[in-house]
Amino acid sequence: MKSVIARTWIAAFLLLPAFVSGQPAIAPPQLGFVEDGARALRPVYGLAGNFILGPSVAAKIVSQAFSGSLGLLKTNSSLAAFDSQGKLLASMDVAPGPAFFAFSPSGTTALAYITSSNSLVEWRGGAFAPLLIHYEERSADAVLALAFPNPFEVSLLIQRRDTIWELSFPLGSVGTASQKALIGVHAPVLALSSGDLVYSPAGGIVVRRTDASEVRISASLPASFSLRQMNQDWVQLTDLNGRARFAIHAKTGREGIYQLPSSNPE
Amino acid sequence: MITRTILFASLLPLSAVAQLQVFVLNGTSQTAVGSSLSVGTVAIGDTIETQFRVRNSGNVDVPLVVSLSGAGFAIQCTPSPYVPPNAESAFCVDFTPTVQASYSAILEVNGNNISLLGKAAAEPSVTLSGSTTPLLYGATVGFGSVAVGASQQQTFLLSNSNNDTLTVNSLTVSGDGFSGPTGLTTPVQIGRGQSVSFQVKFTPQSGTAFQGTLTVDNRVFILTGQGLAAPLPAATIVFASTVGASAQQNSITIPLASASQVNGTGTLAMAFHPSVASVTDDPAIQFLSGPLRKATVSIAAGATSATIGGQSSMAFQTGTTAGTITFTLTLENNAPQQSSLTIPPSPIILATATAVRELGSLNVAFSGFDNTYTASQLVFTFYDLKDKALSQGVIDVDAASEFRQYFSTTQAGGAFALLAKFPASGSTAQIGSVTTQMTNSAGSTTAQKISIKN
Repeated sequence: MKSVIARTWIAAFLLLPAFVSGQPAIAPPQLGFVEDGARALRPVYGLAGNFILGPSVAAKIVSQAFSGSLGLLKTNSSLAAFDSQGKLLASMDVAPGPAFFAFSPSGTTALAYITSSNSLVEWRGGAFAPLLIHYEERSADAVLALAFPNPFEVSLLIQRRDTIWELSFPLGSVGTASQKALIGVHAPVLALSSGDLVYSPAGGIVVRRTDASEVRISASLPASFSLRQMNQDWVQLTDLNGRARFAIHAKTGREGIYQLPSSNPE
Repeated sequence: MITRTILFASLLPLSAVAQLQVFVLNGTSQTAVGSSLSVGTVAIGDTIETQFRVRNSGNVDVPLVVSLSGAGFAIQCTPSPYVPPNAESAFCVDFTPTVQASYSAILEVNGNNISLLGKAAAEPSVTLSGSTTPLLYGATVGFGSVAVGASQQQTFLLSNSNNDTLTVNSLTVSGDGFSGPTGLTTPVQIGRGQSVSFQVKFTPQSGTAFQGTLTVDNRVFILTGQGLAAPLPAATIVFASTVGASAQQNSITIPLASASQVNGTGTLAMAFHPSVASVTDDPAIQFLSGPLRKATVSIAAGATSATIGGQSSMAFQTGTTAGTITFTLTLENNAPQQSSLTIPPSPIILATATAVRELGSLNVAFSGFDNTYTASQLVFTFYDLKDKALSQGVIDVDAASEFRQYFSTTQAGGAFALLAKFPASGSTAQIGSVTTQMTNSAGSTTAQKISIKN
């Protein structure tokens, strides 16, 4: 049986320049999408330490995230999905203001939480659909991030006094809500589709794995910043008071932080 | 000695002289002038103007020649060259004393001499410390050449050689670069034979000429000085890491040999010279903020390092192409200096690698960079679930032409992502992992064994 398989490979082996799923066999490596200093959505190509920003594919971005295969972006009045080429897949009108996004582990299903309307929208099967969320906002709570731990559950990471809590809600009518304190986690915080948490204590970034192990990346960071998923293993850090943008590599064994280009032609 | 001749005296006919008479105007009345005239007493620096009229009582035009000799006096209103019959010509003489003294001058009108007398009011003399010569009204006091940021101070003396106590009511200094007076507050009374001192400071802020004034009551003195731009201290280009390699983020600082005495500006330019044939540039090689390859450098007085683009350091990327990155630092009045970072050719570096089992195929994907643009041989070795290489699982592919095609068109430098698809019929469940060896002109590299995921 083994030899049959091996013979098959040799007979059938193809090294592209042929095309796979419409993508060239050799192409610039894409690291995801980022929101640049002008609030435009731009693809990022390259490798750790060598980034190239592509041309803008969307403008006036309020919030955005990319799973590696699917992206969501929020402008002031709309929510849109886009593919890995930056092509718009669908959009819908939503309440103004920022949104939080979370992706399933496969990166093909996603959730969007619109803060101003306390509403949840799901992207599944190529379309948006509103979902009921059983979260009652409290004035003392501040939503920090959204997580999509499994197909049946959504979690809101909220700041309540000095502690960050993970509030989990069933996505359907069946299930129970639960909450747990995320001890030691500091805002800003981001839940990756892998289940890892990225957060920021003083003087750096920490990646907390699902097994509770942590990797600390020392860095001099802006005074105020946000975290957004820009790929499975990459997180965009956005300086909220300036144009500086950074990329955090969260892949196990490759953890690091890099500065994204914000240069402009002279 | 002031001498001013108004007309061509040598041409005057003698017969005309007797027809002219000189008057001085007092308000609206005129008084005939004799052989001398006192114009009065005036403070040093002030001016008394005396109006004269020359009357022609004859019946023909008379050429008029007026001249004046004597310090402190000057003809200000020019008379007409001829005095018509039964008419007048007007001129005026200003008396402006510059030191305290009695003054006299000879005013000559068509050969008639008139002694003009004037007197400066009693005021303290102004001298520079160390000098006994009073400064004349309007005199220039030079502070010399002074380095930018440094200061030069002059001490002035106000001395009273009169019999009565004198009062100085006002003492002011004006003009960029000049400050003071210090050491004396006005009004100040100066007794007979006494002196008081004050200081004026010159502190240039640029390497240019400066001019100001010192005013003692109504006496004005000119202050001058030359700013000397001190040279910027020697600056050095320092890399955070001196190891040249592709796909690195590095940064530059510019420490100074000493604290700068002056403000200065310049530029830090970045240039890339690929060592790969037929490659002209790598757009990923750039500063990470501001203009792509040219940053503004600023040096503040007192600073021990320059800022680059407003920051204490400037980050840059080294790209994914072998070559030399050269930085040129150009500062005002300094010769440009360069520092280079050589990016040597290296075997292919892989950043990511994945292998996925799909229906009917195995897909191996990896990304990395080839800074020589010469990737050629790919060798895939497949292993079973016990980590044993499959007997026919080594697949050798020459991908040189595909890579050449890609590198000739990409804007991503030597960075690439490659997807290799291995169509297979039958079960691939027994295939557990794969390694990839890639070769370029600098050597071969082998990726860590990748588990094949479902």
